[in-house]
Amino acid sequence: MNFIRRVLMVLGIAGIAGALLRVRGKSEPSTQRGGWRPLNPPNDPLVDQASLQN
Amino acid sequence: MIGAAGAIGVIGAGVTGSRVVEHLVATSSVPILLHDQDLYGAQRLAAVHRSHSAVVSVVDFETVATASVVVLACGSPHAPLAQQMLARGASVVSLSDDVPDVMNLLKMHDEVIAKNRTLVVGAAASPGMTGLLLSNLQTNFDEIDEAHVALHGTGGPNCAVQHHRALAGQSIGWHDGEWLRRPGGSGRELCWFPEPVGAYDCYRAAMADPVLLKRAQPQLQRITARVSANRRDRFTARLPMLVPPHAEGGMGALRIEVRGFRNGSRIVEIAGVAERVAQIAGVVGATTALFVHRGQITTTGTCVLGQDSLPNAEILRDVLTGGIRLHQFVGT
Repeated sequence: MNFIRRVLMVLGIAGIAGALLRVRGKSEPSTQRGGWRPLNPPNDPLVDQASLQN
Repeated sequence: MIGAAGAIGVIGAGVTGSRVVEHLVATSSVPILLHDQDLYGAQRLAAVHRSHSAVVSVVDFETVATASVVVLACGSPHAPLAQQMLARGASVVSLSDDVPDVMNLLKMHDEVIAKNRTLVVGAAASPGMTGLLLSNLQTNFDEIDEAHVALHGTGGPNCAVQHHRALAGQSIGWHDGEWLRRPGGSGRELCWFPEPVGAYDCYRAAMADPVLLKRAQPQLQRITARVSANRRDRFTARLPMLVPPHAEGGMGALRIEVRGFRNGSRIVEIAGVAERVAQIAGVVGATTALFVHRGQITTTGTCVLGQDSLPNAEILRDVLTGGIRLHQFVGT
């Protein structure tokens, strides 16, 4: 009985430690500084051609 | 010619399916054949669009296959459905983001070619929009060798379930000539998404993007895909979903970071989109279906958005015209 209790306790502690390690920790930032700017849609070759002809 | 006439079929009247129908109705007058196991949901969606120029009819499974192209916007698996649609002579646009399902769809290449039809795999947000953005960014490089995708948010309930599964599954990444499998939920990286979403911690997950981006641009040497998650998501990833998913996730976002060379220098370009994920998926799926229907995609067999044989710039332009705003990250 004592053995089972010890095994369960060890498994429990290991589970809690594993869970803490999993949910805590430091992020690796993908980018350091900067910002987002709107991007224009890709040009339409047909429209470009037409505007060049005009 | 593929899809010169006829209707466009949509299977799925959920959150993403309704966005597909909405976009088709808004941008074309092609008749739409709608099918869903939930007949009431399909009829309700058709009724919403009754007054518009395009006719939305609720039909059975056999009838939806008479369309020139069928959009699969239902929960996975899509491979068996695609097989049945192709057997009845329709081209297929699948919005699946489930890795085994996507692999099964890609395996159907020879079968689709034999039927002289088109099967577009992963025409949603991630994958789908990511392929279009990769193709768009590629024009800024002489040569590209890395692509890193990050996604925040979910579409409808099926998408939320897929997000939950993805964090418990094995992520697939392409790394210097071999596929690396890593546990989902590992590899934390803080990724900045376009405003109003901002920064979120993202983790490896079982996402289909690396497989499809590698297929689109085989020269890539490193491809990774991450998804945002909070502590509860990661802690409960291996358990069944404890709380039923929301009807629709909030504001989502995706970004793709492409690395390569221009004029001999190593450069990085990042593009992103902030919008509800189902809206992105719906607009990309509907636009792709329209291109197949009009015969503007002439490639037969299985294909993925971003591959050179597709008119990616034109598809992206139409997607952006559909209200999706593209952003570029400027900084380091």
